[in-house]
Amino acid sequence: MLKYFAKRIVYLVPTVFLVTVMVFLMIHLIPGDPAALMLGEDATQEEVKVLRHALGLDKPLPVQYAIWLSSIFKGDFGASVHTKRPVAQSIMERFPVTLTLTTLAMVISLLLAIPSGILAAYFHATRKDYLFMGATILGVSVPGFWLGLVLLLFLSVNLGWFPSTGFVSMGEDLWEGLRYMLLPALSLGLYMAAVVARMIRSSMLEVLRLEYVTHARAKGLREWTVITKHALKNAFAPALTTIGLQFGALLGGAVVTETVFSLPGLGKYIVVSIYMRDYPVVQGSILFLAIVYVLINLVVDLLYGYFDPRIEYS
Amino acid sequence: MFLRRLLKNKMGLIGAGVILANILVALLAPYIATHDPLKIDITNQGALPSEENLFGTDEYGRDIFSRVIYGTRISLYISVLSVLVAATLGIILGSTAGYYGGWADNLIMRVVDAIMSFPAILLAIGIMAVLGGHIYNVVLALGFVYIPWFARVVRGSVLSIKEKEYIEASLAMGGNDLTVLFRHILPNCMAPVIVQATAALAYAILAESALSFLGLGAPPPAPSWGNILSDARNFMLDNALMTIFPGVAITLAVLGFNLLGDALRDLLDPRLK
Amino acid sequence: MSLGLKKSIPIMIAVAFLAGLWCGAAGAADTPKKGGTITIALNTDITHTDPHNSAQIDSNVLHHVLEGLAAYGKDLKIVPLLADSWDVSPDYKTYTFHLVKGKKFHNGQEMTAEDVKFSYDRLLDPKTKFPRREQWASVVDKIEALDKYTVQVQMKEGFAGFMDLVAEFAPFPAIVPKAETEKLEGVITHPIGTGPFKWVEWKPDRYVLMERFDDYLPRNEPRNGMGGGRIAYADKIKFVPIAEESVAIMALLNKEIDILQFFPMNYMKKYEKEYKNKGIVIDEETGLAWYEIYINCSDPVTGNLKFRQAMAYATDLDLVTQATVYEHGKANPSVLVPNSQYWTPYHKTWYKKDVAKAKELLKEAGYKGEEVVIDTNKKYIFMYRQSVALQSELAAVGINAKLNVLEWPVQLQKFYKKEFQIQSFGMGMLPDPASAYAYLKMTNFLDQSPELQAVLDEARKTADPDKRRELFEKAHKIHYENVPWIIFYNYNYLQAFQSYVKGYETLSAGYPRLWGVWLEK
Repeated sequence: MLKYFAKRIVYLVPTVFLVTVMVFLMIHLIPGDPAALMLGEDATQEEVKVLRHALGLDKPLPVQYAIWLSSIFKGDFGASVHTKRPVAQSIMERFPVTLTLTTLAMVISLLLAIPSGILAAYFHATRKDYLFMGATILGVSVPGFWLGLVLLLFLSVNLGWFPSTGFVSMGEDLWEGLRYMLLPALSLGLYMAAVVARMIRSSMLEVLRLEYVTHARAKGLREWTVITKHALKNAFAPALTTIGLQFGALLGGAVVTETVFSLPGLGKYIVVSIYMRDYPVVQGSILFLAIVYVLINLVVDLLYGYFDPRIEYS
Repeated sequence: MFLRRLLKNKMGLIGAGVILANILVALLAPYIATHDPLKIDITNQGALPSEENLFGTDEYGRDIFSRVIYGTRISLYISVLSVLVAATLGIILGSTAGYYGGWADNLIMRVVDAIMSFPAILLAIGIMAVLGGHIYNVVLALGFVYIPWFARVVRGSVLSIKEKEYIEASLAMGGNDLTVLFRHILPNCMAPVIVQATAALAYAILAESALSFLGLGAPPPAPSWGNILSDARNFMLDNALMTIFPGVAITLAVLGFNLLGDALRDLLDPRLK
Repeated sequence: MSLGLKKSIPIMIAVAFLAGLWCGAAGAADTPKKGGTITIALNTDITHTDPHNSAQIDSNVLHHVLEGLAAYGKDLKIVPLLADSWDVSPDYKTYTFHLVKGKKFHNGQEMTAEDVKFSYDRLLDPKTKFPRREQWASVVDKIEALDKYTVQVQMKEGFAGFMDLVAEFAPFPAIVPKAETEKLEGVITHPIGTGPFKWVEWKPDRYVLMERFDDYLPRNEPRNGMGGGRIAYADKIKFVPIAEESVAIMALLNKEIDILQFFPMNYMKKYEKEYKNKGIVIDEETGLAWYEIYINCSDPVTGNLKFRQAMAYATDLDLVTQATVYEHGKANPSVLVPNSQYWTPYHKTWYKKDVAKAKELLKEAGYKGEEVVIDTNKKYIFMYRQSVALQSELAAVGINAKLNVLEWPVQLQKFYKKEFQIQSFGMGMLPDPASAYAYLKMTNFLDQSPELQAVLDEARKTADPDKRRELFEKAHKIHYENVPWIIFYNYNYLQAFQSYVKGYETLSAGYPRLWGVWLEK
């Protein structure tokens, strides 16, 4: 077990290294002088020169990368071209919104997916199962942002049940904050719900066929106990990997969802910054989200190690 | 024999049918559309659906029905091209990693892992921010993002086939690496690749429409479905239908690939369920 | 039927009583109430909190917290604000300001000449990055505090337009407290001023919050544009950024916001049919923003005078106006607006659409169908719509014009670098027409026309309205003959608010103004 953990963490290092390299290259692939791009069009020649020197733009690329990486480690993600405020500060102001959105989306999707996946496996090959399959395949085909638009149109505009804009932090006011987050989280989470539901169902079906489950049935345990106690725990492991992967889809989808619902999160900030040519913000935010995703996957992998009996005994 | 099994799978048939319908619409767009999708008519801005304009018009007086029809071309074009790019590069990388192993395998898989460390849409957005809005840039961006799917799958297949006896036999008979790869190994990897391809096509259409919606995809006035939805936001309160139709189009196209993909997966590689 | 006096009296008393009640009620409805929070939606978030380093959007909120020496009144005449009066020497070299006594900053300190000197010195300092610094630095020699309430500004040479710089809305030469600001290193993050509201906080992407400053000393005159008496009724005011039009309308309908600064024109029909009955009011006002295309006069194709004249003959201004702003704007070929004090009917002179003449001129110009690029953007939707309409007009006479949709910052960059053939543009109010004409520098026309340069130089040297009127007619004539730009229209500002918002008026410059506004609920 420990060996598995150590291995995973060791593999993390080169991956993260490559991630930083990719993000670093981003700004250097844009035509134009990176220093001028970072300072914006109202910068003076002097300022551009100073920044060029500070970034070591006259030095070879690897050196520049090292300089950039060391400032990242110090927490300096650069400054916004537009507002001149530190990118790290802006990220910290906005990330909680994105985190709330994705977490809520995940909670909603798991609340929908797990019970329905289990039930579908239980009712395998009946009409209920086919309905489930139909619903889930529709769920992975519907574009999340469109669903958000439609929900916004009908539930917020036409019926007025939910606010159409603005934001109240759930930390400040739980229920009011929930009102603002529910539609976005729903439209974001539906895709994941469909994927995870199918995963749980197929995973359950597979496990239900395994011998030791048959053995448990033979022992005379009730079907329900068979499902929950024995099958679920083992079915959960592969589903866990899917959930981890899907969290990445959630982070990416949050970018679009925040744009649809005008939430003041990191995703919308990235999109707006791209329009404004505010590259330091774009670069810093993408790096941040990528690192968050890597860490989450690490946690999921470690959890997987815990749940999957095959690993325990290796 | 395989085909017969496919034909028996109802869902797969429906999926294939939907895809075929999409392809037909794309090919026959000039005959199905009622207007020129790019023609501006400022006297007819924001019109509600009528006989003249089946889905109404947008804020430049362009007929939405025609735009949605032509949008099929863009979605199919971009998704097919980007999946081709991703599959080609993925096959090359995956087979190299699987066949040669060692440091090549390590290096390639670390790169693949790095790409997978980014949420897909986020990476595509980042690439588009750098490259700028253009149809070919979208193809490059999505093609790059989906490489890992193919690379991993091919590598896995290659690894399992590599050990088989007839490969060793072939090598013993003097065949060189490349011939062995192309003649014996790769053809047997095609099954999972095809399954991945249908999944990737479905994702690509969703991703392309999300990118265009954000203004980072095919540049206007291209009638990409995402662009149409983005334009529609300003008419949401007037002409709700304008928001519905492009979304339905996207859903149908994606649905087709998902249904077919599911069927293919059932048939070709039950393990991937 | 006569009721007789005995019976009439109770009736008369009853009528009088009811009349009294009615008057009282009507009067009460117009009596401002203190209290509540007014929420107003702007179309983008602010980016700076330092008035001396801010953009137009920031000025929208900063004017509630800070004040300048003078400001533009409703009719664009400059009126007192922090300065009660000012003397201008006949040679326009010396401006002496007499400050209001007893004005307090939000931290309790009194505003004096030292603060004014400090503020003006600060914005002249290159480190501050005041956007209008170059212009200030080119005319201002030095600033002196003569005594506690008198400030004197010396010009390098006689400059008649200094008051326009002082009263400018954005960039905002606000007066900041010397003692507080000196202690800071770098930009002001928590503005302290003399305005009717105090800055509370800015949560980026969410809101800017302010609260009433109870020790504010208002002027005696009634509210007048940006000047006059400012009385804050609301307890708090909140500026919320909403970028998408449809979202803003939804928020307005759901009563999540009280005021919407820019009500989108394409929703006007819905307003007439529906929103009006849901308690939404729209105040429409002729705007001072002017939208146009700049034509590069040094380019091989567009630099040809006949080509440009052909463009003018090809384009129907009313059509472009209608296509872009529907009925909520008026075609206007001149830099000057009809309610400007310098406007004369001569400014209506322009080309009437004549396709044949346009084609003839194209032939004379030797135009062989070369592609002409119109830079435009979608951020300012009018710039986009007008370029679409323009392209279609030009195509009808055989001009091969292509739209190049750019991101606004990129288009702006190209504009300042003069790297374009045609740019679809729009500018906000510039009260001094001379500074508007000065933008022709971007088309290289200013260099080509010593005539126009002479006219503008003279205009800068005088404040005499008659002389200026004459000069601007001359400028328009040169503009008309040479077509270095084609100005299309001024559009109306539509600002929407809930029916319980009282005292809110749309200003012709479009700025939100929240003093003198109260909530009746």
